[in-house]
Amino acid sequence: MLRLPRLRYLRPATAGEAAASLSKLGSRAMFVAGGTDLFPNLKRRQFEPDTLVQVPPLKGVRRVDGHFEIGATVTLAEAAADPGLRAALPGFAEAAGLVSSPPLRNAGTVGGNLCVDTRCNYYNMTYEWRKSIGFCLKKDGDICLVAPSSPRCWAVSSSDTAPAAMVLGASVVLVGPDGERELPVAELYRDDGIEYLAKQPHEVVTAIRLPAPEGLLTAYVKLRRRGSIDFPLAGAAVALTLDGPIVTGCRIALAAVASHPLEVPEAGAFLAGKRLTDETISAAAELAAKPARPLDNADLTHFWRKKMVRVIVERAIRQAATPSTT
Amino acid sequence: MPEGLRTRGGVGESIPRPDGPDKVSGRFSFGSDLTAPGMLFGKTLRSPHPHALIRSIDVEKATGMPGVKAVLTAADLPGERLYSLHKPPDQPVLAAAGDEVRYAGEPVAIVAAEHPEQARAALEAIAVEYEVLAPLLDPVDAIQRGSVLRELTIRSGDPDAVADVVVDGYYEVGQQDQAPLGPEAGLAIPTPHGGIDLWVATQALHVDLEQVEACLGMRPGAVRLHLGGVGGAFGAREDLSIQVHACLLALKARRPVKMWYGREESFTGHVHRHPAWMWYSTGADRDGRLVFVKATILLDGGAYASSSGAVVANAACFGAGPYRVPNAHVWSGAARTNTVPNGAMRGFGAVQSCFAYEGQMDLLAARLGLDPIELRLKNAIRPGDRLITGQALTGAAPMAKLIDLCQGLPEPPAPSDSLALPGGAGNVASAAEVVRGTGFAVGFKNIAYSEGSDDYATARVRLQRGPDGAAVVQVKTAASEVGQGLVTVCLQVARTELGVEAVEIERADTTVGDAGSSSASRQTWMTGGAVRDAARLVAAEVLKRAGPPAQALAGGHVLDEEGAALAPIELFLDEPIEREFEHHHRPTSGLDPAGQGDAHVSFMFVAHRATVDVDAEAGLARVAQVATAQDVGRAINPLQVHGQIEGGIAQGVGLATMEEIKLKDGLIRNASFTDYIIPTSLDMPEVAAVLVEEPEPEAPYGAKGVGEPPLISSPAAIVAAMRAATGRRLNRVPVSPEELAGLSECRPGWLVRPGQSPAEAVRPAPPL
Repeated sequence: MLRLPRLRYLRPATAGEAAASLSKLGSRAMFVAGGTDLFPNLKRRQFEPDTLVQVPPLKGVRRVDGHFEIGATVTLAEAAADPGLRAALPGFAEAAGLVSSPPLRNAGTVGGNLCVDTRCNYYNMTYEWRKSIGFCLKKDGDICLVAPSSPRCWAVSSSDTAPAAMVLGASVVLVGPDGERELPVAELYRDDGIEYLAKQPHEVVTAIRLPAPEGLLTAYVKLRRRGSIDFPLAGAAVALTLDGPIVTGCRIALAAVASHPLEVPEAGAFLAGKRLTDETISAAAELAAKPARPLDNADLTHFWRKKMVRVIVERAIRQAATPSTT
Repeated sequence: MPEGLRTRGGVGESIPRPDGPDKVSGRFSFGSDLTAPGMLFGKTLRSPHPHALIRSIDVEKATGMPGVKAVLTAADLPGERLYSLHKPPDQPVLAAAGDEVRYAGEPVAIVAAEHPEQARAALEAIAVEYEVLAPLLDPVDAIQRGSVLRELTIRSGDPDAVADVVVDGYYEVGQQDQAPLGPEAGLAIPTPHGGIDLWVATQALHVDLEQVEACLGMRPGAVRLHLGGVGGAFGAREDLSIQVHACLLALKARRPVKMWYGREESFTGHVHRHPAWMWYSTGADRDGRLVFVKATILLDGGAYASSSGAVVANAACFGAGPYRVPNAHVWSGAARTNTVPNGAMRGFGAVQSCFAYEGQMDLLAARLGLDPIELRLKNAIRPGDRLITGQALTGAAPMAKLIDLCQGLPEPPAPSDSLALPGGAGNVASAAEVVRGTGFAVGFKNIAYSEGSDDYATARVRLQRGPDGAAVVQVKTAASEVGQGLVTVCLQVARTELGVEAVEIERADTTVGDAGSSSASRQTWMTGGAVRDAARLVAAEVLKRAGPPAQALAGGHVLDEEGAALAPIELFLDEPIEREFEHHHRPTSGLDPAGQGDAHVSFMFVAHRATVDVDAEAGLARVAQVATAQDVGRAINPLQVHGQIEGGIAQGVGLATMEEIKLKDGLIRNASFTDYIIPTSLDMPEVAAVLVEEPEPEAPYGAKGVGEPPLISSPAAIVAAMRAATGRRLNRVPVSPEELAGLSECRPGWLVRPGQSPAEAVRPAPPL
């Protein structure tokens, strides 16, 4: 069986202390919250820190001034079940509720899912397997096994909550050794499979702020083969405002089609000012699918996953709009 | 008989299994839970290449590392260097320097250390120099180069028979993993006198024992095997895994050694279901009566023989389906390639060919404008008919009745909530996007060992007074409880024969005679039969001691011929009674060069109807229901039979919709349960099952096996339902979303005339 390496485990009392610990220890240490993604990765030696720094409890879902503030260690199960979130931002609550399986949602956190490591089926493999085939860029190697001529890593962002947060114009609260700052979720990610987060490694996510204006319609559709457990093969998050039948605002973001959650502003902009019809929805979905670039490093073929982006965006727009169109 | 004299919990009752509460509450000790004071941890160094020459192996550095107590290579082997289920053996215990490794994952060296991480570090320190060779991966290519494990042709009837209507089809079955939740595990403990005890999660203690003795070079009696708790098997534990390695390390280190694989290692540590490539031609007259079946069934056997030979025979013998087929020409064969060996998995060759012949029946029905169920009824095989191997059906063969009963089962309602739609919890589909299809398929397969094997099982039954003076039965066999419920069956049999409810099923080990393998759906018949026969000898002794007018045993009493109690059984147990019996089934014969012969002792038949909801745009499917009628002879324990049916259908749903080991350049790409996906409870359909109990004349209590049929034709029925919903060809399982959405099709990489050997295959012309 695969075992965890020997690790030192620190449990600081505050986020500030956690950030200070990591700042001092540098790349030898990593944050851990629920551990549902990190622990299997450690067993496969995808990371080799000698110290884990526990993110202290940062609980609570609060509604303040037209937005929700969710503590970073609120579990995915808690977020998915929160009545306020479910009523006001069903797309985000759904996304949290679609991550993996019930036991993992009971341990996995909202902050952890926003920061979850990118995936690739050349990388999320045991040490022995990776050694067999030759290590890759993301760990121990010097080429990308998916796109050998590429100078970069193409591991895939598999967060369900990130695109759902992005379309809301959400932001995260980051605490570093020198204090706190707020960063829009849209700026939290970088288009790189290795350095996929734009925050400093020692900055800890303490909360996520989700704007929830009156009348905002949201949905999240997750494509996977089974009813549970699987990472997204693709996901589509939509946030929509309507004035009668006319779209007054629309944001669309995709999961699992790039190394970061991918907002597709062209598609949202196309719908703005238009009436929602089969034709406009379909055209917006076509636009949304264009920049999606799935590669051959997840379950099923990239050809099918690319084709499905249009399908799930269409369906996500319809789902978001359903309350007002029926 | 007065209620007090009835023996409760005997044959025919749905009693709960004795190991159930411990298993569901986490108290049961599985193989991976084994522990002994001072034990070391064993680990295996495996080849990273599918094909390479080992130039050298240097273990010097590893040997001196902290905590390392033994490092062994082929140079240290004390006995036979090769092992196998196949004779003569062909699989190296450890690949030797100067020899080749033939699949990625083949064991090259083994290490035992005080701590698993020390063992792991030692493996890292072993230097193996490989000269990488080109792997042989295409099975047709392999056959054409003469790399063949077995090939077999069946010819019956008129080779030139002409049919009014002929349909041709090409089918593929992907490589399925047995995916038992308990990975390979065992614990070897040296005895003070140079022998060894091995606790291991296995399907067949004596089959393992024979190979372990040979490879350790030990005399009979020096090695004892004990059954460790088995967490599922499905064929994955028929071949050796840790057995010889753990013993070698324990003998070398003179310490107990535990070995257990993780999930990832397990994928290369056991055989899988043979992937298949099948070319079929089926002919019928205008009324739909079958005239001929011609088929080429090509299996990838992987690097070593394992049980490929028997799988090839099964795929061929049952390759025309449970139908009256007057003329047949079937070629079946397994190629030797550079992949992980393939071998036993639930259904054992019958699953692969069923997917093809049932696809053909639907094509034929469409061509003739007949209802697919009517076509099957018209051709259903009946008692007295001959199989394509010439064997006459002498036992129960209620094929037509199964079809009738299955088609009459209630159909499921439309999905009522979004979780029941394709894509399930993912919100993908709404009811508007879903089309429902229904498909039907039938299948059959042999029970127990075939082709002239002397198949037998041994049981020892002891009847004595327990501590409180009441009669207690002890049943000892070497048969493996692998989750199927054999312990319950043995308990029920002993109760029925001896009229005593207090029955202890002792832990299986090799201190009693061979019981054969828990495979081929055979243990209810074979070990159940041995327990019955041994118990009957014990009962005869009780009656002899009681003397006239004693006639029978029930409810803890000796009864007279009217069923009145004469005396409690324990009255006659001043001396315990112990009897042993070896139950053999009727001898079978081999297959002649035309594939003719009475190769099988008995057959199990089954019908499945699947209802599948399809989102054809996204290519997602959810199986709403599988209805089934199964020929069980007699249900010893109906509850357990239903459990076996549901479990087999779960694996059938997996094969039809998602389960496939994916290889790239000979390496397994999805060796984990993240990437090799199996159905969850959300993906599991409702199962509506009806048991058909027509007693099998030769079987103890008339009971046939039940483990395999649920998996034989359920995949074919599910795919038929998907075809009905979409109109697509879907000639490959698992059906990919891409194929279901009509975005791609599976086409043959080679052209083969059905019945012909792939040695004659040619590449298709490139598309214009």
